[in-house]
Amino acid sequence: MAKRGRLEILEDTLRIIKENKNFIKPTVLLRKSKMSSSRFKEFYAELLEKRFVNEAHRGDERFIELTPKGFKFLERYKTIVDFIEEFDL
Amino acid sequence: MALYAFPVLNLGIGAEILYSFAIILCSLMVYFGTREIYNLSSYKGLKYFRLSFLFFAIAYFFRLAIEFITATFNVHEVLELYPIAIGYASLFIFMYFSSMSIFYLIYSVLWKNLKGNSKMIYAFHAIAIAMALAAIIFNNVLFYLGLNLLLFLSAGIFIYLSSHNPKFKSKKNRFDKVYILFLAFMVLNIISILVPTFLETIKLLLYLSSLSVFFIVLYKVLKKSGD
Repeated sequence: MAKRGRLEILEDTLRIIKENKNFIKPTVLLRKSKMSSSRFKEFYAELLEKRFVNEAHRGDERFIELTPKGFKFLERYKTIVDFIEEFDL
Repeated sequence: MALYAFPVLNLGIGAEILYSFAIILCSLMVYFGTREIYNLSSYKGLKYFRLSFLFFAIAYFFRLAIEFITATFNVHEVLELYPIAIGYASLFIFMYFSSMSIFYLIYSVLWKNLKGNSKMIYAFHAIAIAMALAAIIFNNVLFYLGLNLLLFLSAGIFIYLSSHNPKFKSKKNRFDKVYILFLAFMVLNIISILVPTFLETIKLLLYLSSLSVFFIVLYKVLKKSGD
């Protein structure tokens, strides 16, 4: 179930950001997400492209924060998973 | 009860329009009711599930068009006035979209077993086009019935096998019985438009049953999608 795995990874990653007061360094997120560096790079690009997260800059440092879409995904995650299971999708 | 015990019902264009309108409305409610969870998840199974209902709504729109044309005009007169254009085009579009709605429903359950091989959907498009062309070329009742029986049996087997694959077995209640019932009514509805006399005696029963199945699916969808 590769795609279901992708949804779970997405939820885990967004939750890490949220639980870190919605402000996390990419290196910290990489460590906490337990993904390989190359996998994280690919996944992070997807998060930015689909507007689940934004990059914010404070001085020279780069941070990641959730967008309203990212918060919405976390809010609706259980509904999405329940729907997929209910209809065997 | 034997079929001949039912009185022959002529439902009339008003009832047909109302029925088609209810099916189109239900299908579009499923499509738009799942838009948010699809936009958030980009989940392929959800995409195909939604497309199935969108295609069903389009097919029913053309079903309505076919019935309106055949009820309002004499079909032969229409075909003489606009050779092929109206009657055959509507029939082709109806057959293509209704077959694809069934194929999308199968694919929404099947895709995860295909290990990333998304090319099968193109094969389904090709089969749907071939079926639509065959419906026009072979103007034969037995051919229509055989084609739809084959479509239903293959769809039922696909969904049954896919949802009973232990690798993908979900923890919750199975929905495959409703799927198979739903497919049966989709196919019977296709038959009722292609071979109107075949189901004339049980048309009202078919319509009420179809609507009941649609309402069950719609209720489940709206309840589960949280809309």
